[in-house]
Amino acid sequence: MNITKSSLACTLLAALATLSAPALATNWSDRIRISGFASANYHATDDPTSFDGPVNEGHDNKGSFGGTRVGLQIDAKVNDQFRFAAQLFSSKKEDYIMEADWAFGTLRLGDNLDLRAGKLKFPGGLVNEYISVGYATPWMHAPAVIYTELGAPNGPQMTRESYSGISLLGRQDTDDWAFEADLFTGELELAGSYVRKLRGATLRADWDDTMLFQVTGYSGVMMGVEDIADAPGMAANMEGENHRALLYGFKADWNDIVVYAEKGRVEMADLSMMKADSWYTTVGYRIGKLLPTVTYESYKQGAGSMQEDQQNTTTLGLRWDYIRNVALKFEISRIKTEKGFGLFPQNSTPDASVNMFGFGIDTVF
Amino acid sequence: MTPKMHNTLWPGAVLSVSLLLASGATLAEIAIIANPVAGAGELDKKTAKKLFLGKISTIPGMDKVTLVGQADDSPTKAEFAKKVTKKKLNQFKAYWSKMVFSGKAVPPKEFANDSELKAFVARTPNAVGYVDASVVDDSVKVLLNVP
Repeated sequence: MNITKSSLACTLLAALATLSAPALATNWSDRIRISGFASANYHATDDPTSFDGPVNEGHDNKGSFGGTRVGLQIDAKVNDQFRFAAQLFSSKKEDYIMEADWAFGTLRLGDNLDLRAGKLKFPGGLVNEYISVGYATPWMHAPAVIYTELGAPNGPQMTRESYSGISLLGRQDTDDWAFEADLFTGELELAGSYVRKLRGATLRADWDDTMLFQVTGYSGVMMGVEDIADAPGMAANMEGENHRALLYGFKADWNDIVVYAEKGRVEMADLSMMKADSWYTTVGYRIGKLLPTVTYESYKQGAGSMQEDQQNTTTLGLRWDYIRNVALKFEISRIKTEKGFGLFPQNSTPDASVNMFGFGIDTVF
Repeated sequence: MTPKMHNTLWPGAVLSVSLLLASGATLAEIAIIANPVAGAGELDKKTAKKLFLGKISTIPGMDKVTLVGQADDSPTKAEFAKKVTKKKLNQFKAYWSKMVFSGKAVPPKEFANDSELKAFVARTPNAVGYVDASVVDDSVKVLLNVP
C-alpha cells in the first residue's frame, strides 16, 4: 500500500511539473504556491500497554516520537476556473515514506459553488481536514475519542481518512454569518477494509469568525473486511454492513476564550458491539502567547454487548507561540478505563488509570 | 552627566519621542488598496474582513480579485491582522494554515513590505492588498481606511 501511495505521490509531482510548464514559462510565482508544516511530538505513559495506536506505534511507557510528521503542499492555479492542490505527507509511523494524503482539483462553478474531485480529506469533525497540522490546533493531537489514530486497533474510526470521490461545496454569507454545505460521495480505504457507496454531507454555520457550528452525517457499506486477529468472526459480521456516523461540533474563539466541543455516534448495522458514542470538550484562555487548555474526553462502545468499553481522559495542555510560526506544546493526561480496554488494543489489560505526558513543536512554512 | 549635557540632549529626546509617536500614528492607519482601474468602490470593514479571511473571493464591482498580503515580519501585517481581522498575528497565521492545508484556499501572494506590495497592486488590475496608509499615492486606489 505504501508503494502504491508513494507512486501516487511521485505521479502527482510529475503531473504538477507538467501542469505548471506553461505557467513556468510565464509568471510561475503567481500560479504555484508551495507551503508546508511539521510537528515533532513525544509521548510517554506510565503503563506498558499501547494507547491509541497499534502495539509499538501508540503511546506507552517506553516513550515515542510516533506523532512526528511533516507535510508539503502544492497549490497550482491552472486558470480562473480551475485549480489543483496536493498534500504530500510523511510520518514516523509510516517510516517517513512520502504519501499523497490528498490531491484534488477544484472547478469553480460559480462565485459560491465549487466542484471538487480526487482524493479529499474527510470533512467529518471540526479539524479533520487539517488534522495533521499541529500549528492550526490547540492540542498536540486532536482528541482521540473522535479523531482515532489511523490504524488504531480500537476506537470509533469516524474521521482521519481521506476519501476518493467528488464533493460539491457551496457557500452563502450574510452580514455576520457564513454558511457552507459540503455534499460528498465516494469510497474510503481503511486498514483492512473499504467503505464503499460513501455518501454524506457537512453543514457549517460561522458567526463572524467567532463561533462555528458544524454537523456531519454519512453512511457507506463495509467491503473487503480482513480477519481481525483479536476478534475472530468479526470480519464476517461486518462484511456488507452499513456503516454510518453523525457528528456535531461547536467551536468558539471570543475575547481570548477558546472552546471546542464535539459529539459523535458511529454505528454498523445493528451490531451493538460496533456502536460507539464519543464526545469531548476543550476550554482554553489565551494569555499573550500562551494558551492553557483543559480537555475532557468520553468514549463508550458496545453498550449491551459482550465487549463493552468505557473510558474517559482528562488533559491539561499548554500551547506557547514561542516565536513566529513556531508553537511549543506540553500536555499531561489521565486516562481512566472504566469498562473494557477503551482506546487501548483489544484484549489488553491496561491499568484502570494511566498517566501520559507529552511535549512537541509545531511549525508552518 | 552635567546640566549642560542635559540641556543638549533634551531637544533631541523630544524629537525622538515625537518621531516615535508619529511613526506609531502612521502604523495605526491601514489602507486597503486596489488598482486605480478597479471597478470596486468603497469597501466596508466587514467585507474586507471576509475577503482577507478567504470567506469570499469577490467584492462588489470586482468579480475577480487577486488577494495579496505582506510577509510575516512586516509590521504592517500585524497591524492589519489586529485592526481588520481582529486577530493577533499568530492567530491570523493559524487561521490561514487551516484554510490552506485543508485545500480550501490558496494563500495570498506575499510581499516584503508596503512599497513592494503597492507597486504590484499598481501594475495588476485585479489586485487587492493592504499597506500602511502613509505610503498611499495616486498609483493605487484606496477602498478602505482603517484608523
